[in-house]
Amino acid sequence: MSARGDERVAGAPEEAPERAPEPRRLRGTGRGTRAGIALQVGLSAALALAALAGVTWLAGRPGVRARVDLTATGSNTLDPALAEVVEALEEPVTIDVFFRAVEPPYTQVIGEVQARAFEIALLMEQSSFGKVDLVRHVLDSDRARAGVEARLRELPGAAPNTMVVSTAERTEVLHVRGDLAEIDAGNLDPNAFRPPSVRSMRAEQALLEALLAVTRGQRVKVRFAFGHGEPDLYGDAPHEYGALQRLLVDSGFEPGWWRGEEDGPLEDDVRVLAILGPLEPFTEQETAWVHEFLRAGGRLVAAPAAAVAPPEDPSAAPGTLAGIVARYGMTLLPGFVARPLVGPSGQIVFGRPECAQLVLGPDVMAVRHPVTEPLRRADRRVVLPFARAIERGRSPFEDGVLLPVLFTNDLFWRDLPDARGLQDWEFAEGVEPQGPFEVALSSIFPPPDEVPSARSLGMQTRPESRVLVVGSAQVFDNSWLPHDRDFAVNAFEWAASREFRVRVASRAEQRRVLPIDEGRALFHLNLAATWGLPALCLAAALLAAFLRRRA
Amino acid sequence: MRGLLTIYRRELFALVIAPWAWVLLAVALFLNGWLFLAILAERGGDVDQALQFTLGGSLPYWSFMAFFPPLLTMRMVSEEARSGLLEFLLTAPVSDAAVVTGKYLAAVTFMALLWTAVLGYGVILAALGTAPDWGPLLGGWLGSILCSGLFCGIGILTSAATQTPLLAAFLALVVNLTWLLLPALGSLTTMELVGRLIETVDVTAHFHTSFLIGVLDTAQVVFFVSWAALFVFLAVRVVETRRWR
Repeated sequence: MSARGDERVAGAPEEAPERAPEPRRLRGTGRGTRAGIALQVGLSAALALAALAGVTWLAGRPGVRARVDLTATGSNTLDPALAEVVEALEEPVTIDVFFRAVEPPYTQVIGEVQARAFEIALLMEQSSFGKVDLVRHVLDSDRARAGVEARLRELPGAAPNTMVVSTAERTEVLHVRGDLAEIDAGNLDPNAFRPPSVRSMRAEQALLEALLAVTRGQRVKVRFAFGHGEPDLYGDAPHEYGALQRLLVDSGFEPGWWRGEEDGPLEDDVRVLAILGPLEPFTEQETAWVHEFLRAGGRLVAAPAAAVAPPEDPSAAPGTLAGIVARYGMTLLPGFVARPLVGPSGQIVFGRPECAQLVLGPDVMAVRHPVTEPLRRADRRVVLPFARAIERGRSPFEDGVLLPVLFTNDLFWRDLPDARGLQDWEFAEGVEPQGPFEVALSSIFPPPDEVPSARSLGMQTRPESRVLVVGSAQVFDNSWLPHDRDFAVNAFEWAASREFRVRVASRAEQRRVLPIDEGRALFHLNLAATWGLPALCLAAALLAAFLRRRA
Repeated sequence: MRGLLTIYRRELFALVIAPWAWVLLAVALFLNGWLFLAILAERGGDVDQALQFTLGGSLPYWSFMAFFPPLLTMRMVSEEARSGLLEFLLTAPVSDAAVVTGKYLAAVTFMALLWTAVLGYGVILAALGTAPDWGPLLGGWLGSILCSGLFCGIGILTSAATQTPLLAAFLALVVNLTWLLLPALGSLTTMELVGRLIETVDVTAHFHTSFLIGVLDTAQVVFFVSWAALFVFLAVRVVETRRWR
C-alpha cells in the first residue's frame, strides 16, 4: 500500500536532514582586492597631503598666525617706528640683498653687519604679510650670475654689498658701510693693532628711511631754470644733467624745466628750484619771481658755472646767480679754490688744472648737516671740480641761519685769474687768499610771505625756506655725478625737507659671557655636560640591563 | 583612540628598560656636550651663541636629527611584524591608530629626554653665574622636540612599511637626508616653481627663522605638527593593509 504525503517506501532510505546554511564567503585577497586597497591607501594619502597643504597655508595667513619674540632684548621684534611703517604699507616693496664676503681684515665685521641687516629685513618680510618681498641674490654662483647681473642693471645704483629697497617706481640703495652700519676701520699697524669693528648698527634706521623714501605718495616737483645757458636737463653729454634727472626721478622727484618768462612765475606746487650753471643773467622779472618763490617757502639749489666769474659787487648784478644768492647772505668769491697736489715721489706740485679738483673727505664736511651726515658716516668723499668759494655773511632774515655744508682746510688757496683772465694754479703767497674756505653753504629762514598750501609740508612742520649753494655746478653733471651721486641726492632731499625725523631707538646689546679664561667654570661645565649627563645615562643602561636579567 | 595610553606606556617602558637606548642617549649627550663646550670656547664664552649652535644652528645637530630617530623607531613596528607579535597586537582591543600613535609618542618622548638635557646645560650655566637667555633656549628646546617628532614620524612610517628593522632605519635615513638636502638639490634647478616648492618644505629654513632665533611662530609649529601627523597617518594606513597581505 502506498499513499502520498505519508508514503513510506519499504527499503527506501530515510529523508536527509535539513542542510546547514552555506558559510558566508570571505572576501578574497586576489590581485583586484590588493589593487583596490592600494588605491584606497593612495587616495587617503593624497587627501591627507592636500589637508596638510591647506592647514599649513591657513596657519600662515595674517590674523591666524601669531609670532612671539622670546628673547629678553626683543631682538626679533621690529622697532615700533619701523613696524608701524611696515604695517601701513599700501604698495608692495622689494628688498634685494646683494651681499658677498669681503677681504680681510673686514671679513668678520662686514659679515656681522650683513647678517644683522638681513635678519631685520627678514623680520620686516615676516611681519608684513606679503607686502615686503625679500630677495637674496647669490653673487658668487656661476649658475645664478646672469639673473643677478640682470637685476643689478634693473636697479639704479645697485652694486655688490648693497641692499636695495624698491617699489615699481622708486629705488633706495643702502650700502653696508655707512648706511647699514658705521664701521671703525681700526688700526692695521702691527705695532698698535686694533681690529675693525662696528661703531654703530643702523640697519633698522636705514631701512625705515628707505621704506619712507620709496613709498611716499607724492612726487616733489623740482624745476630747473633753463634758457640762460644752463646745460640740458635731459642731455647725456658729459656736461649735461641727464643722469641727475634720472636719479631724481628714481628718488621720488618730478624734475622739469622752468623757462623763466616763457613759463611765468613758479607754480604753487613747485617745492624746489634748481639754478645750475647759468651763463647769462636772469631778467628783472625772472629775478623777481625767484625771490618771490623763496620768500613764499620755496627752496633753491644753486651752483655757478665755472665759465662765469662772480661780479665784484653782486648787488650791482642782481640777475646773476651771485646776485640772487647774495640776497640770502652768501657771496660767491672770485677765483677757484685749489689745493696742492702730491707727486709720485711725495713732492708738492702746483701749476696744474688738477689742483682745482677738490676731493673733500669727512673731516671737511659739516658734522650734523643732513646733506653730509650720511656721507661722513660712510666715509665718502665729494669731488668738486672748479669750485668757487662762498663767503658767509649774515642772514637778512630774523631767525634765519647760515650753515656750512662743505669746507676746506688751510692748505687750500683761492687761485685768482691773472690779467688775461687765466688761472696759473700756482699759490701766490700774500696775493692769493689761503683757506679754509666754504665751498657749499646753506641758508634756512622763515618765509616772510605766506606759503601756498600746495607747497606747505603740513600743519606739523614749521614753514621754512631753504637755499643751498654749492661752489661748482659740475658736481651735478653727467661726468661727475657717479662720484657725487649721494651728495647730489642728499642736496635735493634736504632742499625738499625730506630728511627724516622718525628715529629708531638704538638696541641694547646684551652678551652673556661665561668667564672661561678665569676660574674653573669651564671645568665644571665640562664635567657636568660632557661627562656627567652621559655617565648618568650609562648608569641607567646598566640598571636596565640588571633589571632585565633579574626579570 | 582606544588603548593609546596603554600602548604609549608599554613602549616607553620598553625603551626605558632597553640598555641600548640609554647607551644611544649617552653617546648622543656626550657628542652634544663636547660640541657645546667646543663652541663655547671658540665663541669666547658667549653662552647664547653656544646654546643656539647646540639647538639647531649647526651641521652636527641636523646630522643627529637625520640619524637618531631612525635608530629609535626602526624596531617599533617592523621587529614586531617580523616576530609575529604585531598580529597579536592588532587583534587586541586597541585600534591600529592607537598602536602606531602610542609607539610614535614613546619615541618622541625619548627624544625629548635628549633635548631636555640641553636645558640642563642652561641650568648648569645659571648655577655657574651666567644664566642664558631662557626665551630662545626654551624656544629651541620646543622646536627640537617638534623637529624630532617630524623625523620620528618618518621612522615610524618606514618601520611600518618593512619587516626588517635595518631596512626601516636605512629607508628613514635616506628620506631624512634627502629632505634636509632638498635646498641644495633645489639650487641645481632653474625652475621657479620647484624652487618655491622646496622653500615651502625646507625644514631647516622653517626652524632657523623661528625656534633657532627665539621666536615662537604658530605657523612653524603647525608645519612640524602637521607633517608629523601626516607620516603617522600614513603609517596607520600601512599597518591596516597588513590585514590583507
